[in-house]
Amino acid sequence: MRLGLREKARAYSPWIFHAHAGGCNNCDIELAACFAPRFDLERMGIQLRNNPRHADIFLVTGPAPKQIAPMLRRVYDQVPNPKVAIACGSCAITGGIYNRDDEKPNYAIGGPVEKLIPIDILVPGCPPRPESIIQGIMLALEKLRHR
Amino acid sequence: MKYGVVKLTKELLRNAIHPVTVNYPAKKDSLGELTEIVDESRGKHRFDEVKCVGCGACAIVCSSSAITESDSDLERTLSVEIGRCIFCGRCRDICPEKGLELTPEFEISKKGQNANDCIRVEHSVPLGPCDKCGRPTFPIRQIESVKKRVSENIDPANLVTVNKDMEIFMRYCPDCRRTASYALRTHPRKSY
Amino acid sequence: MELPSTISIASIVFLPIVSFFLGIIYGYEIRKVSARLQSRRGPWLLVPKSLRGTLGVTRLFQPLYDIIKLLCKESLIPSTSTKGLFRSAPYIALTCVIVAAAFTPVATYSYLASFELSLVVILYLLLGVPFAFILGGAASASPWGVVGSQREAELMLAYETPLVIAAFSIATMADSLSVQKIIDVQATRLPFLLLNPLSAVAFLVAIIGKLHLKPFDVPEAEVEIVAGPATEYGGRLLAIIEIVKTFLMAICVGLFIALFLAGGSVPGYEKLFSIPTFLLEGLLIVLVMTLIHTLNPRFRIDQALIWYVRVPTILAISGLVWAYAFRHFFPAFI
Repeated sequence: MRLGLREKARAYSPWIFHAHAGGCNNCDIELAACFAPRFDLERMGIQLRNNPRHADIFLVTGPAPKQIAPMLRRVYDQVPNPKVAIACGSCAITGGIYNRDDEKPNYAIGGPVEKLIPIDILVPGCPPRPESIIQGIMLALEKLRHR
Repeated sequence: MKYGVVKLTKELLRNAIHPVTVNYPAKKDSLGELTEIVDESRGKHRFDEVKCVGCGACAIVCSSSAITESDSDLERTLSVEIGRCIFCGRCRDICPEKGLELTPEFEISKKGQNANDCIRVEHSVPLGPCDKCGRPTFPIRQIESVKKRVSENIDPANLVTVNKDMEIFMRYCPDCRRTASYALRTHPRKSY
Repeated sequence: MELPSTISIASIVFLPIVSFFLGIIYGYEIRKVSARLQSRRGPWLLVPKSLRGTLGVTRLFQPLYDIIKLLCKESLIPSTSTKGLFRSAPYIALTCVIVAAAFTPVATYSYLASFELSLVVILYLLLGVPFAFILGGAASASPWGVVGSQREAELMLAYETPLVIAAFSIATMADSLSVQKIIDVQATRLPFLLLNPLSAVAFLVAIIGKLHLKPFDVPEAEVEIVAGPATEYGGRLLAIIEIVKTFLMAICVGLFIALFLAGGSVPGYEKLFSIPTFLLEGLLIVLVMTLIHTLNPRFRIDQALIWYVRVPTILAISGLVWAYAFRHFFPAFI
């Protein structure tokens, strides 16, 4: 009985930490809209915390510029296990519009986020709709159950 | 402050009884919608199987180089990398055949480790061989569509000659076209 | 002295568990009511059918799921902190609060509440919670923790005064420091909410400060200092802090009901009817606190301190004077 309760509790109460790694802020606004009354994520017990040590889900938005690349890794290490990382938005997945050319990478981008931290869920969009973010978080809940 | 208490209580009760939350991610079992998305929302791409001719204009104009075209011996594949797309709609606007549309579908997240796991929308058109050398040249449908467009828009006086030329040259690859143009005396600067 | 019966000993263990679950339901009520007042739905009471597979049937025990999830995570200890104090501070608070929960009557029943000085013991043990938070926040080597500890210390000075004065004015009216005797006096006469409303208001406001609800959640100000004393805690230690908060909620509400609302007992009815009444009164008190919590912004620490000195302390002292006057002019009433 205890084992079932542990996995269930992990999926029933995930707390999100939002890491802003550069970017135009659009994805952050759509994420904030997810917690607004229209798309209420508190229904599923999800809280947006501002402390990585309290969080389970690590949500990254923005292409990681070179200045923030080491900090992103450092903050990711401060999230206690078990954890899931979500890359939200085109910039976090591939660099988006800032990374047009694969032969000549952008001088300011320190890589898409996959080069810095291990990612589990990809949510494309520019910016992703709040419904897309909610769908990504539901996929993350499934992954969190089995961690 | 005192006269605002009644108004405040009314507003609080109204908030409590009529929340504005939409039903997503729960599936509504009556005829209501999950969430209100207008038809013009830009989401996942969809290539029309009949209308898209494989010209590749979308790949040229894409803002973030998300659409790539690649040729094999038999077909040309256009592939939209959703992980790189910024959903601007330039590809849809420039498509001459209106064969690409951005549907309002928004459930495009996936489990994956890197950008290659992100979903791609692909579409293939068959390539036709060159009449002279046999190598793959242009998509067959693109040739048909260009012929139709030229016939509709050209000065009727030149129609017969141009049609005759198109019959011969549209199925030649660019190298063979260059070598054959001298022999057939249809260099562009020659007058008809 | 006769030994207590086995039922009494079993109840000493059983009552803190019941208090814990009551605290969880009160925590759920805070989240649900404050969400509804903000025109959104809170945690689902009944999850829609299509999501029941992934999200369960009901979210009534959402704070409990939070606690269990935190218990199953690793806790990270900062390397520059005072590790012994950092690790043990939540457990100090937990011990104090579990023993205090054994003394607080639930629906008029508690074996230990009939101890002659149970009110003093409860108020004394409840002091251990902010004390432990101050120590824990200062032991975590983080500026957020230190600032949170300072604010917690100032706020503790502010809200303890009206709390203790109001509690002792009730003890004066009932002529006893035992919580069980206070309940019995109210069960035969009127509840003290009607006889001494000044103390009731002072006690309620002091409880709002003790439970860190707005407008007094200064030590845990989320936007200013990241989480106050609880910033560096994560995983198991944070779960202990959440358990302490749950117990604290149940004890404070239970103490209010015991001191001012006759413990939930309905005059003229048997003791068994006190269980639904206790639950209903608890939910009502939490509803009032949630309304205040949702409608108010956060005070600054100096504003909170000055306000506490101005309004609740004066009210509590007036309540004490009123209690003495009541005992003097109506000696036969009690």
